[in-house]
This record gives sequence, C-alpha cells and structure tokens, in this order.
Amino acid sequence: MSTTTIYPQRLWSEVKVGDVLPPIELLVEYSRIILNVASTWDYFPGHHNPDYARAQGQPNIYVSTIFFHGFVDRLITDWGGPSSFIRRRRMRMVASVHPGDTMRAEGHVVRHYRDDHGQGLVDLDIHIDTARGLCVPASATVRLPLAQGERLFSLE
Amino acid sequence: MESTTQRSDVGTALGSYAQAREWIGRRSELRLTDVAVDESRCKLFAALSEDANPAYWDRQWATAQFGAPLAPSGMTMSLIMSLPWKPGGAPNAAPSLAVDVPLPGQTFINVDTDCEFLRPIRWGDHFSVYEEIVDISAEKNTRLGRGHFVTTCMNLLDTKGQLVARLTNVLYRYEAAES
Repeated sequence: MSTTTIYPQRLWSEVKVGDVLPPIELLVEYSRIILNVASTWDYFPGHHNPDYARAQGQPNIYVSTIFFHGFVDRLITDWGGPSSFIRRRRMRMVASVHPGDTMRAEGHVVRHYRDDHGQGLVDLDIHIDTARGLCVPASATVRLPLAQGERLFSLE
Repeated sequence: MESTTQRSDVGTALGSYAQAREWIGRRSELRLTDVAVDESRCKLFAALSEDANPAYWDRQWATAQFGAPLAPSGMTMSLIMSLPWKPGGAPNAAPSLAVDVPLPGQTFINVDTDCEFLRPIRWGDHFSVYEEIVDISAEKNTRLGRGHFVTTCMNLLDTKGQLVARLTNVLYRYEAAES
C-alpha cells in the first residue's frame, strides 16, 4: 500500500490580519542570473549582456520580472503551504536586482475574508528589497483551504 | 506594412507615437505555444528560487491533491516565450505585442504586472495565447530615458478553450538617456 506524505498546510481560519510571513532571502550570483535566463526562456539581452544593460542605463545585467514572480510566490506558499492557491498577484518593478545583490522578500496579511462563493481568501502586502532599498512592491490574493485535506480544485 | 517596419537590434518595431496609437485595441491571433508544460522546465524554474513546494516536486502527493504535479504559477509568463530557434527559419513570436508596436523607443524594460489565475497549471497543460494592446501612454521622461508605457493583456487558454490565466503587463519602451 502506498502512502502519501502529509505536508503542513495553513487553514484560512488560522490566519488573521497582521500575520507576518517568514521572510526569505536569496543571493543573486552570476550563475543564478544565467539560471534565470535558462529557466524562463527570457533571452532579452538586459538579462545576460552587461554591455547591453549598461547601454540601457543599468549598472549591470539584472534579473527578470519572471524571477520576481517566482520569488514572491515562494514566499506565499512557504507560509501558506502547498495547497494554497494564488488567485492574483500584482507587482511593480521600481529598481533592478544585479549580480552580488541579496534579494529579501517580506509580507503580511492585510485582509481576511470570504468571497461570494464562500471561499476563504487573504490579501497580502509584499515587498522585495536589496541592501539599496525597495525593488518590488507587490500584493496578492490567496485562497486557503477551509479544512485539512480539502481539495480546492477538481482532479481534472 | 509589417514587412517594411524598421526594427531595432532587439526586435522592437520603430515608428512614431501617432502610429502606435493606432495599435490600441489591436489583438494578436491565437497562437499555440511551442511546447507543453513539462517536468524539467517546472523543476528548473522552482530551482531558480529554491522553492521546495511539493506541488512541483512530489509527484505522488501532487497527483493526489491536484490530479498532476503543478507548474509554479510564477513561471506562467515564461510559458508564452518562444524557442530561440526552430527548423525552417520560421520567425519566432515576439515575447509581447508591446515589442511589435511602432514607437521611437528601441529598448524596453518591464515595469508592472498583474496576473490572475483561474486554476493551477499542471504538467501536460498546453496553452494557446492571444494578447491585446490596452493602452499606450504619451511620452514620459524617467530616470532611464524618454519613452512610452505600453499596457497589454495576455490570455492563456487550455486545450478545451478555457481561460486559465490573464496577464496584464506594462512595459516601458524608451530611448536610454545619455549618461
């Protein structure tokens, strides 16, 4: 008989406004920026060609929007658990992240509510910073299960 | 005509703001993406952020929970990217219709995204996409240089034609300021 691992999952009822998501950090080495290009298929030269990036007005190559998406989503699901469903995520890129930077993502709960279908939702306020300051302000709406083991979606 | 449009070395179509305004409301044709969502791309993307979410890594658990392992939702925008080369020399689709809009700005940078998801994305999903030009701003002057903000909306449909995700994006097409 096979067994399925049980992973920690936060329930909607366990969350309240003001709850803080545990911050996450990543060092952005050159190798990670190459991985950024390879894993996203985003070959725009600003992400891999220092001469092109400088001609754009940047001090060096920089990570892509899609990397920020993945980093913010990791912050959310590390906190919420693997059955959390990100319904909506908004972000603005106000400063770039370059080789040698450490990215840090933080967030907290700003709203806890049910939608018209009774689904349990939370709104999150999130930001990504480096040592130079704010890079990406973001927000997200996340659906959490109402009970342990609840499937949020049908299997097909 | 498209064939006579001058392009920069990164493929942006060059023209005037007046020409660009005619693109507002324009919609691309529905395009099937080059490949279906697969395990290797999903795991490589999860590795980028060191994301251990078992929905991407534990096939047994994810299949029991979702019907199949998932793609990180953060990689959705990458799923519309084209292969850098294909046999036959057919032109690859631009990453965004915003690149095809004739504008003075030769280069670009992404500034704003708003992504809505209607269901999780599973291994094996294969999407068709279409995109609309929503807005093009008048000329602005930023720390990077002068340019225009181009707002687009991209819709991802599954093989049943059901909408799975909607990505609204603002991209800044600009000429770099003299340093």
